[in-house]
Amino acid sequence: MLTLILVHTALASECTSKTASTNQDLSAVLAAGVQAFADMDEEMFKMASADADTFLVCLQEPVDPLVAAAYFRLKAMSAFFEDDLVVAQELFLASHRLDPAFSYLEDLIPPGHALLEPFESALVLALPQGSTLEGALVDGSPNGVRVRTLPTILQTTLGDSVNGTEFIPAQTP
Amino acid sequence: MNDMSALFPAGHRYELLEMIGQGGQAEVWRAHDRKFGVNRAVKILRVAPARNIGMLRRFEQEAKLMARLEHPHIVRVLEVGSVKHPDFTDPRDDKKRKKLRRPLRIPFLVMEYLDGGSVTDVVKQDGPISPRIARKITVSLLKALLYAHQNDVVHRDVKPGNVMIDRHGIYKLGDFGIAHLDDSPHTHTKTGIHFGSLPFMAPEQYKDAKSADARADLYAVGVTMWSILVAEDPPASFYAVRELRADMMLGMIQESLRDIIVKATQERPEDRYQSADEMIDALEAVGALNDSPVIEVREIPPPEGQILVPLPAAANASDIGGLAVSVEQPRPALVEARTDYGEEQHPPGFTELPAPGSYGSEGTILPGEEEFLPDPAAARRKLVMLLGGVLTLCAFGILAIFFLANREGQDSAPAPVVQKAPKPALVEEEPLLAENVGAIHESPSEETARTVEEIYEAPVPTPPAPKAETSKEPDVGGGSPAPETKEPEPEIEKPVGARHAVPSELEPEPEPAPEPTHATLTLSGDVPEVWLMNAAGTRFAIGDVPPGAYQIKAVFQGNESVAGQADLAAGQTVEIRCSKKFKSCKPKAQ
Repeated sequence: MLTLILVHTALASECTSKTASTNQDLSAVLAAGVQAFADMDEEMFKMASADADTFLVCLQEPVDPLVAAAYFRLKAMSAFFEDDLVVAQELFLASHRLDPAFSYLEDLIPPGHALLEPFESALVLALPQGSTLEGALVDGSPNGVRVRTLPTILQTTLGDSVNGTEFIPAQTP
Repeated sequence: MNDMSALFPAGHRYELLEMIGQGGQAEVWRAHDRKFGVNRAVKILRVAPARNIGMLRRFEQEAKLMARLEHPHIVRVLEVGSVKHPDFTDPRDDKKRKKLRRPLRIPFLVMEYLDGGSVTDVVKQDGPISPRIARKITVSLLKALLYAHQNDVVHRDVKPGNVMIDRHGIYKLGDFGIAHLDDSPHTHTKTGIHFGSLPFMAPEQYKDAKSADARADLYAVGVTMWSILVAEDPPASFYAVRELRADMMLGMIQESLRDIIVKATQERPEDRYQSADEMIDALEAVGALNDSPVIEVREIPPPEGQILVPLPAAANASDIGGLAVSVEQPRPALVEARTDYGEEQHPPGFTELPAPGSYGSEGTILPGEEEFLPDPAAARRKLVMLLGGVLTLCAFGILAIFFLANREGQDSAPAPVVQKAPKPALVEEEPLLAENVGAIHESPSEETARTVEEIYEAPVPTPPAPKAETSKEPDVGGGSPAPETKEPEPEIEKPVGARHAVPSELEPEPEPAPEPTHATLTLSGDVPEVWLMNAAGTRFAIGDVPPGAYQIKAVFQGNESVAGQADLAAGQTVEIRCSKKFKSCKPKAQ
């Protein structure tokens, strides 16, 4: 298990596999991560989070904006887990931007849970202005708007296919 | 009464010895079967789910499924029954028949006890399993699944922990607790709840359990195979991760087996093996397999460094163990010849499981052991001695049976003055199903045809006029009702087998336990300040609280917040587990 977790970390920054991952793969581990959080299963939660990072960088199709939002939410949960509420709020804001209607199922995160504090406080924050990035996919949208103060999923394309996917934390130039 | 063993008192057929497994809904105990003097595994539904009609149905479904599946590689169900819990009432009574106050029935399922543990236990203890044994385990598993699938049953929870090993090294698939009947209109899943073990779960099963067919089981077999070969827990979304990290995850696995794992764990069901049969063929193509219980002797020259021990030609396992005392077990293989000598070199660090029939008769001698067998004649002598020993043991067994039979006859003779009654039972058995009755029940009683729902829905039968007292003896073996002497369900419990007892000789009738009025909470984890709050805003400390719906509240880093929710029933014992990191608490019924 330890070996796998270490491998997760090593692979998180770049995809070393020839095999593409899909939005479906990413969705599956994101859902597993949320379930693990609700179950307070630390090992599974960390593993699912690391798997999500791996799948993201190996994504070779445009990320579905709703999947991107779910990815930000899982990252926010990880930040919350690490007691970094500022980053959690940034990530929730990035998630709201893409999926404003989302709310957690009460069975998973009950009303009043501490996680909902950064989640709900992000809802009332004004969305900062961004700039259009040409020739790249920003959170799944071609020529999308990148807000530098928010985390972003940036994808580069070659012809019709995606040849690189990266998670860019907030404030990264 | 939280200890299940108290539900099976001294007069009961089964004496619970130790808990050998537990999940959220049920406990599994090693039990002594007083009737046959052997160990059994008894799976007992916990109190909380037993008060939930949905869970009862699931338990009943498992019993039905397992009872109808008779296969050498499937754990056998021998009996299904229920015991009364004196502290709780029937959940239907709570709502509809408050006056009746029938005791809650806790269903249980008796299975053969497999003392070899699970494949997970072996992997945890010994590390990776050798490719040869992994293949054997997988083929056994696939044969069990082939049979189950042919009977329209999808297991849905195949994993190493559900593959058990019996004393003869036969691998058996167990735990059909979440199996899905292909022809069943019901599903036991709802959105957001996934039964099964996530890393072994096929993607389509994760998304929609209803859509999972036999190929989902084959996916799980592929993941199981990987897991036992590398002795690692598989990651979630195995199909995707093994592609992403092919070198790391599959590099150490023999190429031919790797291909099988890859094909079995394809994301799309149509890209996998389409049947267990097909996967067995693929595995058999990798190496000659023989998990038949019949000894096969082949004139295969041993590889360098190995000496073959000659076995008696065409001997049948049952001939060797033919005098076994057990009357209901299928006779397992005692000896199985290897058929793939020298086929594989096991990588360093790989462990051979005790092979089927590994009583020193597997057929090969490992390098370094030759000195113990200087020549084939000596080996023959050794085998003859072994057979002689077995026959001697059997002879003793027969004598023991005669002795016990005579003793039983003496016990059942009329007592001259006072007949000593067994300890009054607080519980009595009620078989749930007709088709579950295995070899232990000689014939099913009328009661056995009732389903769980019928048991809960049916009005309490009016006891018929008592039959003329006959010389019916107390059931020495314990609670199983004699098929031909079915008794009506009494409104007031009578001690089983105490009809002829002189009252003064009986232990005093226990006072009926008072109806529980609260749930009992305990706290675990690393959060000290935890309490409950109901909808009216009333705060309750951890301990005894009235039944109802609550928010679990806690203080994390000086801030009070909701950490979870709990829906508590009277009589429940619930552990509240809290985590600082997750800032959450989760109730778990005990």
